[in-house]
Amino acid sequence: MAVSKTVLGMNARNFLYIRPNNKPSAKRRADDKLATKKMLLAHDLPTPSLLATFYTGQDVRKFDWTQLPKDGFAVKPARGYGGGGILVFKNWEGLTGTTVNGETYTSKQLSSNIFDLLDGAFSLQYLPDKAFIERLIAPHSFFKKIAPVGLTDIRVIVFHNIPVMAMMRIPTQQSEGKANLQQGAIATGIDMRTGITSRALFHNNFIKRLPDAKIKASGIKIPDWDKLLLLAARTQEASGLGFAGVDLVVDAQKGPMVLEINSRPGLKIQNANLASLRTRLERVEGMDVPTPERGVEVAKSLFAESFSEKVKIVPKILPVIYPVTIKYKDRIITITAKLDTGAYRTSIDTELAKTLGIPFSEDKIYVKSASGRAYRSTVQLTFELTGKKITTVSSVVDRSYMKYQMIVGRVDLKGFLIDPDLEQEEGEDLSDIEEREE
Amino acid sequence: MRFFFLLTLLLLLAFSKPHVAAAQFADLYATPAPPSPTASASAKEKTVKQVTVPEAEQEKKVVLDLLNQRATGGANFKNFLPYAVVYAVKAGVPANTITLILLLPFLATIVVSFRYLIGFSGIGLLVPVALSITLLATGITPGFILLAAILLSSLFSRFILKRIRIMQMPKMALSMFVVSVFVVCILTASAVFGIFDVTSLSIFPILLLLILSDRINALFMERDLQETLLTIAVTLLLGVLGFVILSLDEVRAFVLLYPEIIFLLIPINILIGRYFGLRVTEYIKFQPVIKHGSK
Repeated sequence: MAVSKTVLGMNARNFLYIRPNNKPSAKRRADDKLATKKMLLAHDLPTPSLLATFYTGQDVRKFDWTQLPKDGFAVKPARGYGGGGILVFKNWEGLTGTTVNGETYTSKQLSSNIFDLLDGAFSLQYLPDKAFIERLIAPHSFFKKIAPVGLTDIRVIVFHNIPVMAMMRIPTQQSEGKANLQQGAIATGIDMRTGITSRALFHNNFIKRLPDAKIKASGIKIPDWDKLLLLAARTQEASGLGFAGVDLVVDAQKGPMVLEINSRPGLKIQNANLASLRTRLERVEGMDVPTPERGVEVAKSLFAESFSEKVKIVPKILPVIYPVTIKYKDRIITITAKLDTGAYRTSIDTELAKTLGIPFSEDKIYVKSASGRAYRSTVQLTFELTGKKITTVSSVVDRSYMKYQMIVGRVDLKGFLIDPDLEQEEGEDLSDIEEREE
Repeated sequence: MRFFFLLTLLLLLAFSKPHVAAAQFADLYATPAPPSPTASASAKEKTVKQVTVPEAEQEKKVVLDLLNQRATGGANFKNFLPYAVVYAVKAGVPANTITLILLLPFLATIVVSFRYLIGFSGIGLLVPVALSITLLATGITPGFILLAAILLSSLFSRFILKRIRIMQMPKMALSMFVVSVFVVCILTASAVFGIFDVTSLSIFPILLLLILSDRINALFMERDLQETLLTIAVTLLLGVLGFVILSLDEVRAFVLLYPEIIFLLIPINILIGRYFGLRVTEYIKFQPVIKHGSK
């Protein structure tokens, strides 16, 4: 099929994709954050939960400010433009709180602020607006690492169930923590098959390293990529828009979440991916993919970067005996462990735990083993197995008479295959991009 | 679409004979107007100002004489439009008004091509066109002085009214109050210090400028500063460009004598309306993809 090689411009986006695919009613809903949130909740799609809604001044006056969570929340207008009017609190002590910018607000000031939002101070053409308070997102540790300030988000453009292109937007000092490219946030292209960043763009220039986090900008593997893609496709399907830009974040506890939906997604994403949206859209036009699940499969096979062929998706095959590196505070120790799929949990030697200084936790667990049934002490353990960081609860037992000081149980062996025929490899395999998390 | 092309091409061929009338016609507009009481305004400005008001009876006669050069020998396929214009002028429609009305879609097409081909968007379609006409009515310097006065005063009033807790419409009425007082002051100052001629200024250009400044204010709220300034700059540029076109005697004469030219706008707008390639500014915006080649 002949497809256009030209870049997708505004003329083509508006006339060929937005107009025929996005109904006015769906567009109106996407422009209204509160209506979008209700739609997402109705479809059981994860989104930061709603703590309060304000439709009238009466709602603000009657609101009990002490019920707001102490660890922070976000106040937003339903139809704000370009992030205007959003207040993010990092803490709230009943009647006063501090925003992320360090300003202090009393409940009185906050309610006056919400009155302004209802008056339409931040909505288009000063039209009266609604306001709401939602739970704060605690970014996944991965995103905290790559962006010390602000909230990194992932924009996926989805066209009739098929994710077509994606980018990660990393806030910087310059963008004041906002994931807005115009204000100086970084955009990275993402390989659709693996979720690995391909390159990074900062003010239309390609950069090798992220300026704030000082790490390489390409080759970063975004966690939960498959889940993110599926969530984006399901959100587009639920939104009623045929052509949508879905903004996602990954919460530390709740995983991937939908932040907002855009009916007129920006086109700079093409620069970050060095790919034409028009080419990709024409390739999947009229494909009639029935479900988001199928759409994700199509996207992963059609829109893979060439480097993704080098990435192994197959589970890592390991021998039974393999070195693991245990870390506790500043102590690091590498020992040879037995990868035992016959055991449910990981267990380590009492002496070893003591040498490392890991405190035993209060809870004991009930264990059935070859040596009988018993209650065992446990420790919170973090170790690395061929570069993958695993955090688990391990039982502690005297293994001094055993050959290996540690057994890695099957709960901690997800994504690995154990092959008894395989001999232990020399050293660690560093060539594996798939498992790298930096 | 091809049908329109053929139609226009035919029309153009039909009237492609060079005509001396246009040049003579242009001379008409260049003849000096009766002397006005203020000496400060330039001769050019006076002729330009005349364009927005109906012409005098004797001028109308000249217009009709010139139009008769084409509207002779009975109405036929070739010259039915000049006939129509003569009919309208004889019936009492001012020739100046006809010219300006015929030129409006030209200005609109220029605004359209700036947006869809070049990528510079002004405020909507109507605002730049209205600005051109306003500038034509007031003259370029007074027009900009008034616009600046209205814009500054409305920004100022908005800044003050932001702190006052009242509903939106009363706020806008108060804003208009501040602007009105300010404009009266500016007009008085202009009359006293002879900055520009205020004797012939009507309320309608001021009203148009008020609407324009209201749209600019809304822009300041919706967009970031850079985007707003660019949009304003483009709007002013389009307004001035339109003003220049409208004030060219040759252009006005040509349109009045060859009204068929407006049919050319049909295929042009259809073509622009189906142009799905990149705008000129987008070639810069998407430089990385274009340079590296898309996969």
